[in-house]
Amino acid sequence: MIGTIIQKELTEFRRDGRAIGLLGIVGLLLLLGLMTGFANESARKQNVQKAMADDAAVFLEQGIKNPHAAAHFSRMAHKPVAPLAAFDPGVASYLGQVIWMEAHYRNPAMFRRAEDAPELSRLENFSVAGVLTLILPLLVVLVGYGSIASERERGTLRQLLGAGISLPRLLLGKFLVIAGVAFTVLFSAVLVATLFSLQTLSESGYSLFDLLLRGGSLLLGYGLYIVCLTAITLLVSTLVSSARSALLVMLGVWVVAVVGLPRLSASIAEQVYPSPDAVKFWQETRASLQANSPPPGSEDYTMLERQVVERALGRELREGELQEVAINRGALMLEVSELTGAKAYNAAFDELFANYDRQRHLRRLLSVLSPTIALQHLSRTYAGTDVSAHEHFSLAAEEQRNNIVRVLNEDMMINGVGQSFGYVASEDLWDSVPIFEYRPASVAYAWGESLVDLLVLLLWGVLAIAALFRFGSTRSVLR
Amino acid sequence: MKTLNVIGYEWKLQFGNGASALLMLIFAAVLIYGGLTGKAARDVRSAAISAHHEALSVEREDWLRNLNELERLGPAANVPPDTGSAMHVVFASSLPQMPLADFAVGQSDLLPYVGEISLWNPDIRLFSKYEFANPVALALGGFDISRAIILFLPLLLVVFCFDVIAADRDARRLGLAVVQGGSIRGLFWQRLLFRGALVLILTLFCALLMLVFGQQPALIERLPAFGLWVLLVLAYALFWLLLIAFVASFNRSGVFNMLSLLGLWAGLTLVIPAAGSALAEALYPTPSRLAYLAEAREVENETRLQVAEVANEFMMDHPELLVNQSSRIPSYVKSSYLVTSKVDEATRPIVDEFDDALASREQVLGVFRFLSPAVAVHGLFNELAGTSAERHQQYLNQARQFKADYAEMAGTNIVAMMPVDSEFSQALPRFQFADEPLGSRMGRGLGPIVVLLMLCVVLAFTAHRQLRAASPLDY
Repeated sequence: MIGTIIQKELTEFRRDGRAIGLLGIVGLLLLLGLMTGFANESARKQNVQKAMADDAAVFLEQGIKNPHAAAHFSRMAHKPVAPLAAFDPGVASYLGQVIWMEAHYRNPAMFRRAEDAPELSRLENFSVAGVLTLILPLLVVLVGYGSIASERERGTLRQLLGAGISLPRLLLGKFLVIAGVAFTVLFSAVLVATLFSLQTLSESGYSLFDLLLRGGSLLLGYGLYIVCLTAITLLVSTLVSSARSALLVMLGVWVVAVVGLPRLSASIAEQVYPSPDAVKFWQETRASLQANSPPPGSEDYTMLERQVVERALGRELREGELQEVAINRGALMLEVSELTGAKAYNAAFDELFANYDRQRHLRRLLSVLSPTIALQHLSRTYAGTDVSAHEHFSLAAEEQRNNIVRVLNEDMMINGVGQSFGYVASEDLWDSVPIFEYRPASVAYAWGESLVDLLVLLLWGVLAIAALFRFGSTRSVLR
Repeated sequence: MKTLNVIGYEWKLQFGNGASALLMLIFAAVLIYGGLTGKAARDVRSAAISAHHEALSVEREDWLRNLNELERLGPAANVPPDTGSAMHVVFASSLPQMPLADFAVGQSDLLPYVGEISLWNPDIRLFSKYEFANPVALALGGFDISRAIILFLPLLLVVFCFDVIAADRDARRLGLAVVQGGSIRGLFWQRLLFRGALVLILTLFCALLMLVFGQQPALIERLPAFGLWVLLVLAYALFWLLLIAFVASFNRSGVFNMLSLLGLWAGLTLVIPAAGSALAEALYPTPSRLAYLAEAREVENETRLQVAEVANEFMMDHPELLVNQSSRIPSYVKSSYLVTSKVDEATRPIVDEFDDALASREQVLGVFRFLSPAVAVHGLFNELAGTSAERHQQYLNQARQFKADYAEMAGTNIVAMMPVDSEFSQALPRFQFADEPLGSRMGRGLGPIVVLLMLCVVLAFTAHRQLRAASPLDY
C-alpha cells in the first residue's frame, strides 16, 4: 500500500511544473556554488602553499643576524584550506589566514579574505551550504504545502481514506516522497562536494577517512533538517483550512526561521556579548601585561629566570648558581619577558574565544526557535570552517611561536655570552628552528563541538514527526 | 463605492485582525532593533576613535616632553637614547563618522576605520591586529535598519498586497464588489495604495524614531542625509508596490501571485546580489594577500642584508645630508626606516593591482545595480551612512599617502640620525580625512535609481492596461 502511495506522489511531483522548475533552479544554484567555491578554495590552496614555501625560504636566507632580530622577523603560520570549505566556507573568510609568530606578541590572524570581497557579498553570498540551508527548504515547502490541504479541497482525501488507506500511512507516503526528493538533492550535493574536495585534500592535513566521515556527518545533519522541514510542512498542510493558507503559513515560517532568525540571532549574540574592538583589546592586554609582570629582582622573577636557565641548559641549577652561570643576561631577560607576556596574551585570547563561545551558546538557545541556526553551526563545524577550528589553529600557532622564540633566545643565551645584543648567529641556526607542521582538528573534535547542535536538530526532527503523526492523523483533518 | 468606503473596509478586513497587527508589530520591532544595533555599532566606533586619539595624544606628549628635555639639557638629559628621532612620531588617524552612520553598518564592521600611522610599519602592516569582530555576525552581515528595509519591506508589502483583488477573485465575489459602483481598476489601485501607504507610514515612523533617538550628532545635521535616505526608501517601496501591482494585474489566483512575488523577492534580493558578487570576484580577483606578504618579507630581508648599500643610495639622493656620527640614536632606527621605505616601494605595484581590481569589480557591479533594486539601494544606503567600502578604501589610501609624505619629510633626519628640533615638532602634520562630497558619492549610484523609477512608470502603465481587460462578469 505504501508503495502505491509513493508511486502516486512521485507521479504528481513529476507533473508539477513549478516543483520541477524549482528543482532545476536549486540544482543550478548548487552547481554555481560548488564551482565558485571550488575555484576559490583551489586558488587559495595554491596561494597558501606558495606562501609557505616563500616564507621558509626567506627565513632560511636571513644571513648572519642577531637571533632576537630573527625572532621579531620570525615565521608566518599559514592556515591550511579545509577541503570541505568549497561546500561550506563558514566563517573562514571572516577570520584571518595567517598568523605572524613574532617575538613578544601573540598576534591575531590577519588578512581576512572577506575584506577583499565586493561590498555586495555582505548582502548575500552563496555556497552549496547556503543553497541547501536557504533554498532547499523552499523546494520542500513548494512540494509539500498542498499535500493534504489540496487533497481535502479537491475532495480526494475522503476518497483515499474510503479506499482503505489509513491517514498515518498516507502521511508517511507523502513524507517519504518529499523528504526523498530533498534528500536526493542533498546527497548529490554532498557527494559531489566530497569528491571535489579530494582534489584539495593533499597537504591540507586532513586524511581521506576524516573527510569521508565529515561528508557523512554533513549528510546526517542536513538530513535531520530535511526531516524536520518536511514534517512541519505536512503538519501545516493537514492543520490549516486551505492550500493557500498552508502556503502562506509556510512561507512565513521560511522567512522568519530560515532567513530572519539566523541573522537576528547573530546580531543579538553580538549585542549581549559584544566582541572587543581592537583599541580596547590591546590597551587592556598591555595593562594586564604590566600588572602581572613581576619586577626584576623579585622572588617571582628570579623563579622565572631559574626556570628559563634550567630549561636552556637542560639541567637543574645549584643553589646560588643562577647569579654565576655564564649566560647572555640580555637573552635571559628576553625569554623571561616571553613567559610573562605569553601568560597575559593567552589570558586575553582565551577571553576572546570564550566570548565567541558565549555568543555561540546564545545563538544555540535561539535555535529553539529555528533549526537553521543549529544547522549552520553544525555545517561549518563539520566543514572545518568554524571558529573552533580557527581557535585550534591559533593555539597551535601560539605553541609554535613560543618554540621558535625559545630556540632563538636560548641560542643567544648560551652562545652570546658577554656580547649582549651585539651577538649574531650563523645561518645554521635558522635551520634548527622547528617547522610548523599543523594537523587540523580531527572529525572527533568537530563531533564534540557540534554535539549540542546535532541534538537540537534531532529534537526538532523528533518533535516535528511526533506532532505530524499526533495531530495530523486525527479524523478532524477531514473537516 | 467611495474611496472612503474602500479605506474603511480595507482597514477592517486587512489591518483590523490580530494576525495583521502582529505582523506589523513584528516588522516595527525588527526595524527598531535594526536601528538600535546600528546605533550601538556607531557608538562603539566613535568610542574606539576617541580612545585611539586620546592614547596617541598621551604618547605624543611624552615624546615632546623628552624632546624638550633633550633640547634644554643636550647630551646631559636623562632621556632614552632614541629621543628626538622622527621615526618615533606616531600619528592618529580615523575615518570620521557620518551623521547617518547608525542607519547602515555597511563595511565599517569589517574594514579598518582607525589606525596608527607610523614609519615603523610598512604599508602592509599599517592597519593590522584589528581582526577581533565576531566572525559569525560578520558572515551573516551587520544588522541595521537599512538592511531590515532591503530584506523585509518588500516581503511585508507582498504579504499585504499580493491578493489585492485575488482574494475576491478566489472567493468568487469580485463581481459583487464591483457592482456596488466602481471599477476593478479603481478598486485595485485604491486598495494597493492604501495598503502600501500603511506599511510605508509604519516604516517611516520607525525610521523617524531612530533618527531622533540616534542622538549624535545634532538632529539638524542628520536631516539632509535622512531626507535622501527617505527618498531612497520611497523609491524602493514604490518599485515593489508596482511590481506587486504588475503581477496582481494578471488577475490570477492568490497562490500564483504569492509564488511569483516570492520568487522575484528571492531573485532580486538574494540571488542577484550573490551572483553579482561571485561574478565580480571571479572576473577580477584581487592579488593574493599572502603573496603581498611574502614579497614584503623578502624585500625586508634583502634590505636588512644590504642596509649599508641602501643607506648609500639614500645618501646619493640627498647629497646635502650629513650623518651625525656621534648620535645617540641607535642605528637600527635608521635601518628600520630604510627597510620600511624599500618594502613600501617594492610592494606599491601590488597595492596598485588591488586598486585596479577593485575598480574593475565596481564596473561589473555597476551592471548589477541595474538588475536589482536591492543592490542599487544597498550601495547608496552605505554611501549615505559613510560606511561604504569605497570610503574605507579612500581612508586607507589617504593614510598610506600621509605616511609616504611624512617619510619624505622626516627621512633625511632619520637617516642622518639627527634628533628633530622643536620647529620640526611644531610643523608636524595632522591626519585629516578628505571626504569626497556626498553629492559626488551619491551621484555614482543615481543612474540605477533613475532607471528604477522609469521601470516603475512602465510597471504602473502595464498593470493599468492589463486591468482594463479584466471583466467583473467573469467573477
